[in-house]
Amino acid sequence: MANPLRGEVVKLYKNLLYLGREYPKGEIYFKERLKKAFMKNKDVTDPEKIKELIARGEFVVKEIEALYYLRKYRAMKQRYYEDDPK
Amino acid sequence: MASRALCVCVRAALRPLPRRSVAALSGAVCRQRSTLSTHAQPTPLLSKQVSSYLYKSCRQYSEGPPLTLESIAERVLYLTVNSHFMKDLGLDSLDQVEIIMAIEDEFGFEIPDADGEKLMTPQEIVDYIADKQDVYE
Amino acid sequence: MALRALVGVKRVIDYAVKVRVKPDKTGVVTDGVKHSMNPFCEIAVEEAVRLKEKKIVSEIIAVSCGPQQCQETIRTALAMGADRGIHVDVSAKDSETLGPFQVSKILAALAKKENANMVILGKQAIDDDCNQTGQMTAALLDWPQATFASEVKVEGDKLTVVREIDGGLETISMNLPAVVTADLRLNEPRYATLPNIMKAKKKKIESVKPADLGVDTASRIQILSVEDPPQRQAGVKVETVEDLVSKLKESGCI
Repeated sequence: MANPLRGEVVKLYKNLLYLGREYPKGEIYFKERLKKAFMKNKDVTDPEKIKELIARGEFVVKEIEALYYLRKYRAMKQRYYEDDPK
Repeated sequence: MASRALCVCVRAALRPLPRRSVAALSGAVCRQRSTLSTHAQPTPLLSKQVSSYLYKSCRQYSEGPPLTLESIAERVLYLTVNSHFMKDLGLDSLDQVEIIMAIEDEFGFEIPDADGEKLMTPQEIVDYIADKQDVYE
Repeated sequence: MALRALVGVKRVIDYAVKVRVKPDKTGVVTDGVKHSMNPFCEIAVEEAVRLKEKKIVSEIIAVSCGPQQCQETIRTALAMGADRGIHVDVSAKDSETLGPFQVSKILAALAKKENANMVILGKQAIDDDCNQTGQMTAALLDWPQATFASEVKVEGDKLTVVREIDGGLETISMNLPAVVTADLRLNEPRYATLPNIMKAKKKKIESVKPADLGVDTASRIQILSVEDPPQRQAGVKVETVEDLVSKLKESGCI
């Protein structure tokens, strides 16, 4: 319970939950998968392994942020910069 | 303020896991109904406290137990301000993180992780917020 | 030289929401609809934050005009890196008639009051698509303007801006103070992450009324009707080539 990395994991979980609020497929869809992904590793105790998993989570955060940006950029581009939107 | 915080807790508890926690929280209602179809199988998700009285209510269904104010209160108010999120409500630590996050949203301030992980009942959250925001009676 | 940048941020219906016209055609449905910061305003905030990271700008002030909920939009700007916010409080009802002219009067008044050297705005908002606020703000302040910016450089008190124009780019130079409006390709706005949103809660948002700034927000225009774009005609499925040919003949295509 008192793992020094616990705070890091909680922070990651919170950040991901927050990002999930605007997930295109819906918050519930995102949350179910997020929880499953965290639960899958609930018994990991090796600090190195936990650090590795946190790094993977942080990578996912960056990927989702990039996904949101691209989605918005594409929508704007299509609406304002293409002459005949199909 | 207290009722609002509680409301958030329940909302937070209900929202994330529609299948599971709705089952856990509205379990009483469903179970009562299921006694009619003779298949009363309380799920292990239910807390001990809740399921034990449910077993009772199953057995007593046909006879009709003598209702007292206490027994009604006990059966309806099994969710109280002192219910423990994990021990009584069957939530896990990730659900608890989510509740803390909902509270942070609602009241617009950050709860440090060290404090957040200690808040395990609605009452504790109410006290914590009142303390941090300098609210006294 | 340490510059002070004033950035305008508008709260609009989220870009991903399907907008619905009210049955009485007086406007669009906004109740219970997700709102967020106008995407072009995000680009404006990002540019200001990048100028701050380059130590060119020393303070970023985010401004939004409208109802109480605009504070959330300001909060997003603060999370992205703005230093403080000013909420120009206009009731929800009055916000409906708050147009680019009224907003530019407010922005011009604030730019003077706050001694800003730069006003950075989005080129237009995705709700009313006016593309007028930046231009009018520059006119009211009698400052030079660089609209549709796709690149901004500051050297001393000189500003060099690459502008997106039809079929190409134009590079212009001007003296500060100036008004810049951001085009889509200026930058990639950063995401307002949860930890930064939390930190932003500690930053100050001042609330003022348009009257405090000596601005009259009475509108000079009246919206007569708002309508949906024409619906696309439903298509038909044809089973055979013969069907296709006869349908094409029917419609006069061949």
